[in-house]
Amino acid sequence: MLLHNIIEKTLSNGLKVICLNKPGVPIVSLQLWYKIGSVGECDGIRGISHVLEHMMFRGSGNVGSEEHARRINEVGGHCNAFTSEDVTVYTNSVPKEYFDMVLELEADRMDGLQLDSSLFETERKVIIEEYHTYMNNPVTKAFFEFRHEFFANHPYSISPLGLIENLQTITTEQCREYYSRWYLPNNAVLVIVGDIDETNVFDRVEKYFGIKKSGVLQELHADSILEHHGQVNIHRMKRKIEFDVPLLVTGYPAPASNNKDAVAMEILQLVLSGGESSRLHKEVVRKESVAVMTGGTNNILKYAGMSMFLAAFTPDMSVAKVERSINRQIDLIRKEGITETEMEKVRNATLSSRTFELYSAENICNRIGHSECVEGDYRQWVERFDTLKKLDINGLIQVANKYWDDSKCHVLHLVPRKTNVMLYVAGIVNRLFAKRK
Amino acid sequence: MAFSFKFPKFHESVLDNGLRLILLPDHEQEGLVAALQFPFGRFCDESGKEGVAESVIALLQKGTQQCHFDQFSSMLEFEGASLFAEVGEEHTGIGIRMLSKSHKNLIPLFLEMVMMPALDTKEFERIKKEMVTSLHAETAEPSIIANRHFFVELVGKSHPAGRFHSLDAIRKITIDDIKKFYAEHIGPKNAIMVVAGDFDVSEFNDMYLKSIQQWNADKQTEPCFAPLVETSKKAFRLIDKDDTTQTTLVMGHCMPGELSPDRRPLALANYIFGAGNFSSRLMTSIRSKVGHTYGISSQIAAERIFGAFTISTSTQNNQLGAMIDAILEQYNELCLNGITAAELDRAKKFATGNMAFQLEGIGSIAEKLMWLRFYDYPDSYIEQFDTLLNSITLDNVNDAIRRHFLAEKMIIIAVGKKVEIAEQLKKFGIFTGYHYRDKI
Repeated sequence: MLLHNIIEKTLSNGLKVICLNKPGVPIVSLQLWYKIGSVGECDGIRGISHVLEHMMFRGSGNVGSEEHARRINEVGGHCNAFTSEDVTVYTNSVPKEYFDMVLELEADRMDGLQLDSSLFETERKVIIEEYHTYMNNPVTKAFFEFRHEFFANHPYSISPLGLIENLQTITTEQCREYYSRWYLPNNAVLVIVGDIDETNVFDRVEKYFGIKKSGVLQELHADSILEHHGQVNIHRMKRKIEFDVPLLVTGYPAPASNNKDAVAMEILQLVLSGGESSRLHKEVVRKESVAVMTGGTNNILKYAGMSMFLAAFTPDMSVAKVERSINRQIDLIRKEGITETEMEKVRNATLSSRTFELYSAENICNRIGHSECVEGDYRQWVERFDTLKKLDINGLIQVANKYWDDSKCHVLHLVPRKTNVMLYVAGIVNRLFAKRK
Repeated sequence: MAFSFKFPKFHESVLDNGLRLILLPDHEQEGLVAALQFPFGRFCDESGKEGVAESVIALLQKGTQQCHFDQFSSMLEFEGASLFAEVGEEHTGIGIRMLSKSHKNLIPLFLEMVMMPALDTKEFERIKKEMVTSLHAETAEPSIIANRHFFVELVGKSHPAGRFHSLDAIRKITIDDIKKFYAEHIGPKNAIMVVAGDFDVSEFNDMYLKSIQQWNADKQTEPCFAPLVETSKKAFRLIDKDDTTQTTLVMGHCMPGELSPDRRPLALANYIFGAGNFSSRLMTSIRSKVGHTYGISSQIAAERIFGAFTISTSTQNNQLGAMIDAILEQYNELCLNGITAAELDRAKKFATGNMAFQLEGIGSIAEKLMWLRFYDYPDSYIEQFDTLLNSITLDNVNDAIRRHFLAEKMIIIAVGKKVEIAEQLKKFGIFTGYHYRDKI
């Protein structure tokens, strides 16, 4: 199996390098994962991880502003970056002939960033534009408020986009300090997947990254990022928004990514909301016809998580009815667990999605990097299928009862500012129709 | 850098029923993809009943004559398989992704789904309800609103590119429309089927070829493709959406489609102008230098004959006028002076290097083969892509720019808060006003 060929090495400066030779298509994906995201921010600098991510493209002493991206584009490759709660990640994919070029570029900005003040002010405008792009969507905006209450008093309460008032005032000095504190080889993981030569890949990495100096890593604000078991400030939120479809979102505190229960939660979530044969779709949408669409996801982060369910319904339907219908399905699992057939379905779904992920070097990089930096060890992902096989139904019932705890459930109801008559009528007609059949 | 790509060995035949069948074994992973492409898309929808093509493809996935929806979805999902579908403007694809060990259960089910779908009335009503909900959700998306207004302004409602599904249209669609459309469009004639991944060709032929050969559709019509439209006017629309702090802009005009000899030169020009990410002129001048936007790009939507060029971006309401000025400055510069030899070289290097990424994995290769067959391009189009690109000269590109980038035909659509942007727009022309909830 391809993943058994993963090789790894930690350089003397602490940089962990994980590689996989995937011959076939002559391309290489290289990602540098810094183990710092918005979770490391404090008041006054909410959004600085993301600001720094933008500035990483604005040039060093050796590479001009945006030249990193231009040089990669010009050989047919692509690069990007993202900031999450737990990590900041730089992604590059190039034809294999340019592997050294991209190693050199990525190593250069690990400690050579210039942070020019004039470019910083221009980039600040870009970041504020990005912030508004998200906030222009009424559902996203409401969800940010929901998240704020759900993770109250936890750094996860604020999205990695940050706070607009901080984005307007963060300084280059603050950025420089944050950069020198966290952008260290011993706080990073380099993942390389593609058509590489395994016999010299570590030498090539060493050539560019070996000279980087490690530093003393500081603790995050340990008092505020203890595993989050659900605050109780607000259980229910209702917002009227410019969006014509009523939505219900429910969120339960979920385990942190390195918690052994995280895999069990993944199974439970798939059984409830994964696909058209899932319980929510079969019961809530099709049998009871109280929602038009349902979905769910576990947002599992390094220190805490949220297990979420979502339903879209018509304005004539009472939100309480939708909520009861979803809760009934959750309750059934808490009481009776899942069937052997559902367990097998989840195993097959996991194996299938793994199989198709392996066709893409970039996807493999993403999975290895996330598993290593957020779950604590990339083997968590490699061995996920074996872990699944070991879980039994009684164990799943215990996990369902532990995390899907109604006393910690948060509910968000989004109400259209203007009730849409067409949608109202369509809802009634559809239910009459469903009953006639 | 020399480009070198050769498709893996595949078996291709055109069956008596007209279906082109391509079998591409690849044992890199234990996955299998089977996909069908038909030469119809939303442009085939009858005027006033837009949404039929999309409904048909959605309804196919809701069970077969032998296998009711519940059983159908359970069978698929139990095996870890998933269906995928895309209704484009002039072609439509539907396929299944599965573990190769499941093919004995799922290939027959997939074939049955396409050849003998249930087309069940109750499922159709559910799909309509989902479409109505999606339409309502789209009212929160300024970019969707802007694009629809753009195409209506560009070609009018008599052209299929100017028609979109709406609440009225969805309400009018009946199950009989669905059955008629299915009979006329879903059949083997002119369709392409690609099976790629971990399977054995002779075993596949033994097990499934007979069923595929027996597929017939007597009423199947010939494909129809939308004509090119020559607009000759500037036009401006302001769509009021008063809950927004940013204005979404779409600007552009007609452009020739895929089969035009100017297609590749124009694609290279577009890379330099707005499709080349951080290397593009738009991104460099408007994001990198002045920070007016998070993202700006230009696209050429190329159907067989019809095409359109668009520039898309968003910016805060108070700097909209400056933003349009900056875009027009770049656009006029392109019209006047074209691109340089160095830029052309850069665009070619990108296009050649990027091809490898478009051919990674069985799904991508299957997609590329369907694309080649749909436009009757030979495999050498990909395998000798660098030769093709190198034959395009700077004169070719700049001549195409002169003929097809025409400032006097520019349409501008702005979706934003009217009270904050109307004044800034005056200097560009007379903007016709709409509300974002207006029917178009």
